[in-house]
Amino acid sequence: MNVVGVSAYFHDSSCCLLQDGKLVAAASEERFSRFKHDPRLPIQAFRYCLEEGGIDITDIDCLAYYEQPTKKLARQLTFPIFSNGDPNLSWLDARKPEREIRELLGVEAPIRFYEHHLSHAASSFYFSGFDEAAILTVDGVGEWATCTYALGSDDHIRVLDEVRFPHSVGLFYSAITAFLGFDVLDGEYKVMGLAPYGEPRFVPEMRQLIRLREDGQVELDLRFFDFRSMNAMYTSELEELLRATPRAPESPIEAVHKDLAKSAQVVLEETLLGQAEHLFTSTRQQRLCLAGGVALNCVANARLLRDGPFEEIFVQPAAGDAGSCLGAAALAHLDLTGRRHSRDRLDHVYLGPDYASDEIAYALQKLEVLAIDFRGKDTELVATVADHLARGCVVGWFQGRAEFGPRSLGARSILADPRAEHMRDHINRLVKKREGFRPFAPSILATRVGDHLDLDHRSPFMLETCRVTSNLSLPAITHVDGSCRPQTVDGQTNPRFAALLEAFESRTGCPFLLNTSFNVRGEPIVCSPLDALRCFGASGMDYLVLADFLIPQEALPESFARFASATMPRPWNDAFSREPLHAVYTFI
Amino acid sequence: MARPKGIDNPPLDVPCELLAELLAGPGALEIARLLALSGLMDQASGRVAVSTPAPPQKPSAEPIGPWIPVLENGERMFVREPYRGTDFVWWKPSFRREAIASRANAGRRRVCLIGESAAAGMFYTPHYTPAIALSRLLATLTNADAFEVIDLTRNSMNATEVSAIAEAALQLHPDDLVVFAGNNWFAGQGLRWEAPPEERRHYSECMANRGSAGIVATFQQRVRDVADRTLEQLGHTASQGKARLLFVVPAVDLSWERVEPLAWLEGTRSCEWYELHEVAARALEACDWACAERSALAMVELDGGSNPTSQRMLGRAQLALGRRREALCAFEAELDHANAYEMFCQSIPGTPSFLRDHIVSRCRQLAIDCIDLRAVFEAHTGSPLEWQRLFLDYCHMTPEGMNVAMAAAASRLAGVDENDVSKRLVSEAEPNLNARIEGVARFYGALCTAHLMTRLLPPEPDELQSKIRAALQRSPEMAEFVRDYLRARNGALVATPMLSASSHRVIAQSNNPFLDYIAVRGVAGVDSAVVTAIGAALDDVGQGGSEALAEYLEYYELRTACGVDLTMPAYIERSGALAPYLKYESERETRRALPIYRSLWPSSAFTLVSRGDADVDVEIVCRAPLHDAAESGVARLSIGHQVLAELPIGGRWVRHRVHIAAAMLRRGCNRLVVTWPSLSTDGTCAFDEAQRRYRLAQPPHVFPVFGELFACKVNATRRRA
Repeated sequence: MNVVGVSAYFHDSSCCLLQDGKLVAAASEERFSRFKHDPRLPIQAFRYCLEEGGIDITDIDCLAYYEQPTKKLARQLTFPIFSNGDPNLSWLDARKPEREIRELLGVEAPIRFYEHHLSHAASSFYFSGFDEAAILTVDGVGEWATCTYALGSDDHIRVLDEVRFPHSVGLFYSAITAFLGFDVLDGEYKVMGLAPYGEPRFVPEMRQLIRLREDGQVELDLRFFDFRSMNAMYTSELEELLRATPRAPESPIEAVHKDLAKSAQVVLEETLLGQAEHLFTSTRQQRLCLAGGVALNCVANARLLRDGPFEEIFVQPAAGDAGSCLGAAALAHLDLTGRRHSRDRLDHVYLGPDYASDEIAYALQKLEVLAIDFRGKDTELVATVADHLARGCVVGWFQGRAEFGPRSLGARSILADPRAEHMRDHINRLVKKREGFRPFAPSILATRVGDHLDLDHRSPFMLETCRVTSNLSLPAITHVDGSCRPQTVDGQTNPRFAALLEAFESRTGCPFLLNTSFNVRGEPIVCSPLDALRCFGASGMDYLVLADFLIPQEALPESFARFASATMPRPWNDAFSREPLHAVYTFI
Repeated sequence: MARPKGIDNPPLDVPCELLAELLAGPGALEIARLLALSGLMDQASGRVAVSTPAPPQKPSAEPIGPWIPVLENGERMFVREPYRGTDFVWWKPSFRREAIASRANAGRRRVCLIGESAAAGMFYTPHYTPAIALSRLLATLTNADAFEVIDLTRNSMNATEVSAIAEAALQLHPDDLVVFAGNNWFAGQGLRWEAPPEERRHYSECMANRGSAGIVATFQQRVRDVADRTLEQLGHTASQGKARLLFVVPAVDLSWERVEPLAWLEGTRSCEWYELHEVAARALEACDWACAERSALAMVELDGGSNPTSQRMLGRAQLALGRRREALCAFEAELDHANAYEMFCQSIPGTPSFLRDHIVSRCRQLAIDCIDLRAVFEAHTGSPLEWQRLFLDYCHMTPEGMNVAMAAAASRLAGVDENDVSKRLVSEAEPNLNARIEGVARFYGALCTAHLMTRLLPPEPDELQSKIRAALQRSPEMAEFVRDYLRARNGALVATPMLSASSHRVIAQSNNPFLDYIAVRGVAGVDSAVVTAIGAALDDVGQGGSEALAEYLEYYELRTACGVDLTMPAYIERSGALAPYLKYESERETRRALPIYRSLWPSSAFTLVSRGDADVDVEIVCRAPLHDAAESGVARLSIGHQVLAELPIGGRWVRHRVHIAAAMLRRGCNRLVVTWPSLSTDGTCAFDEAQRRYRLAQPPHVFPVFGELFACKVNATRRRA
């Protein structure tokens, strides 16, 4: 039984393959197309998934799509957002997903459409390993729903209630993101990162914007929001309420911006806690499954676990729309077989492409890049890399199958020593070229967590924050509020990365490594070895580890860096709508 | 209708869920789009607040292309801006100029030359260009300091940009504006399915009235309209700046083939046309010129003369039969009917005869001085069929071509009778170019032709090889340059064509770094015809071609040994049979642009690279979308001319496995050909459906799709004992 899941036409379009109930592949189109948040039909991800599964198009039993286009259109008609300058009324074309799946992907198998938030719910519950759980999905908007309260029991999900557009926790946070001068659908985590620097002095005003009723319904005060505008999500009344002017993109971040971020974060957490309480009361479950874009707010997730009513929480690692393809596929599998596809917990997200060492060796030779060959010398490679990291070097780490979802988890990562005082600024300046306030996350051996972090369970996906309790000084990964967003690593899911952490600890006594995504600002996380080489050449990293090969920056030809920078992917207009890809808004 | 909770006053008080259901139903969106198309439905009618920004105040000085205005010692200068993204690549002025004063020195006439890549001297830029030629010719004709030529040409400029640059150039106070353009004026005028309603309305009407011939007619009219607008604007600009305007109409190389598939014709005419196409192609291959002419004439009769392919076939036959004038007419008709489907198939710049005649006529009406290079080149060579030596490719000129063209312009500017002086001028202006520069330009010209020309038949092996050999013979440095080109094209590097050390060496040695390399790199992948010709040409000059080729093919041999899908772009032989959506993809070279391969021709060819010492298993997943779901047709799989298998095929995907014995394969590049079932579809219905989709702003299938492949996986298996 081969079920393909697809999410597309919004942001982070993605594809996955469930083969006899086993998740064999999942990838976002952006990793292949190199356009961040690529919303187009995931053509290349689709091909990849079939190839990984060793099947062709005749073997597909069903394609599951992550939302109901006609229902979505009804909402868009009720609140016609824009003409989008599109005289061809493309936005009225609810048949487009089905048509293009048939015509572009060439799929002849049946297509099943599932509601957006049901796909989110399924992406969490059916991959949680829980037999029973409460399910909370929260994002900007799907068809009508912006949040659902649901109960997962054995094979089935029952939606208990939903919050409907325009009332939306996600849109509240996105509007503040836009107000703070960050791109919607991309900058929300920047707001979260900025929050600890601020004071919650705007909390009363934020509470005017969003209110949680006792019945679990969320209400936005619509005087302050304008979801029909292409250029902003808020009205001038919001400026008056906050007594602040919107921050221009890329302009300096001032105290007021930090305070606004803090206040929005506080109110978001309050709201989510209230929703969790409501859901707990309705279901009396001890476990919670979370999904939807808001579930990527790891600070809020930690707060839910710490202060909320649930004992255990599972967050879908690709909680945003990318992960919805998993949910749609799981729902289709259930419909076709009568059983959920698995009762196991998703324990890793290494679901993307892998590249053979010999293939990499051949490309390096043809590039005339002098690399040190560690094939068959795993221990030596790990030891050498640990030595370099201990000396303060920044290392690009490319190993095995690429991660699915927004986080780099030791397959496509940039690694560094978290103890160095200057490391955050150093990486920001030379590699990430991003806002200096944003914290970096650590990876830590799962066996060492108790000694250094206030965390009593595994956290393999960097989806929650916790307090740093270590005696070590870890300035590069400790946020201003003393927290961090860890990835716990074990030898089963990523043995080489675990070995590296061990080797680093043996040299330094520190079981942590700074782990940030392998990309530069505006670029999707690297996918192929050549993507990695280009990113490495265009950045100031000291070493690149490409599978079994170690490449010092100085081994690159002199002209490499210049050409790597010149050929880095640039922001691109959508080939179909001609709109800049980054301008895709939450509910279009 | 259920309203969202908590909303007291929904903004749109209609049953939206019902409306959405209706819109998603059959025909509903078509009605909405037709209403929009008709102008009856004002989409912006009070529902949408779209703020229109106030037009910016025009600054006192504006950039002229990459030159930005600055004040130096109180004087306005235009200095070349540092790197400005992609656009910068297209600007490569001659004279290595970094700054332009806003006025010429007293006593000098300032000439601004504006135009596209032909005017920029592509592949010779910046070492020799029409601007340099014009400057030298003017110096020869008059005293050396009488004229100053400023090169404002740019590759890939369209008509609107030509007008804009001319207007901006007034800041340089030119005495003469020489505009050498027209090759790119087709751009954006062909059939575009996502075009605004106004444009689609025009095409829809013509499609309804005249079928596919209406598409070409509309395209031609739109190109003429572009010419009208541009010439009026240029005339206005020149008069505003009190500058004299000289318009130079480009000439094109008529030996360049512009083969395109056939858009649907009525009833069974498309089927008949493709049957004749096969007969004519075989006749051309067999040098049976009379049969080829007969078949081609019948094809022209069927398509009404609106298809470039039938015209090329006719011209080829007539030329071989010695009927040069008729052949010339056919070749001109080929160009006249090309490029109308620029979103669907390969389009190549060129000034067609209908545009040339229109420009000449409009210039006369507008009192714009005009030079028609067709007449100039014909006078120089005797016939358009003899003027290939003036061109490197379809429109870019050799130094001789630049000199001939600019001699006419220089004579006109200097007020000298061009008939008296042209030949003398041309010989006196002969550039003394470094042999390597000439070699590189010739090599790139050959590659450009090999990569971009859509041909009737595969090229004669020696044709490309002799051009490359000629380039190699220009300079001893060329051999290493060409070997580096092969190394830079290695299959392992297709995703990063500019990161290898070899590519950096090639770029550094190119006349116009970046731009020329980007242009000639063309399609990535095996590129069998080109690499084979390069290998042979290197061998011809004793420079280890076989070794270089073997090194190049090693990657592909390894891939075949591991198993590879030949529908990946790297293995598709470029024959114009590219899928409609191909142009929409950013990374067609590196990653799959389309998940399925779609053939717009009766056969599709792929390159299978083999070591020749192992059998190969083929697994092919294919369908013929114009057929019924049942496997009612037969596709033929061949290696070269040897048929491997006949595969039942229908409208749904089907998988077949075929075994190729090692004995059937040669070491190196083999052509694996899929011949699709012949057409039997009613063209009237198919074209009606294409029209319907076009009205819906959906990609219309205006060309028959003969077959589709989801995969064609080859895997070398047992080694021969």
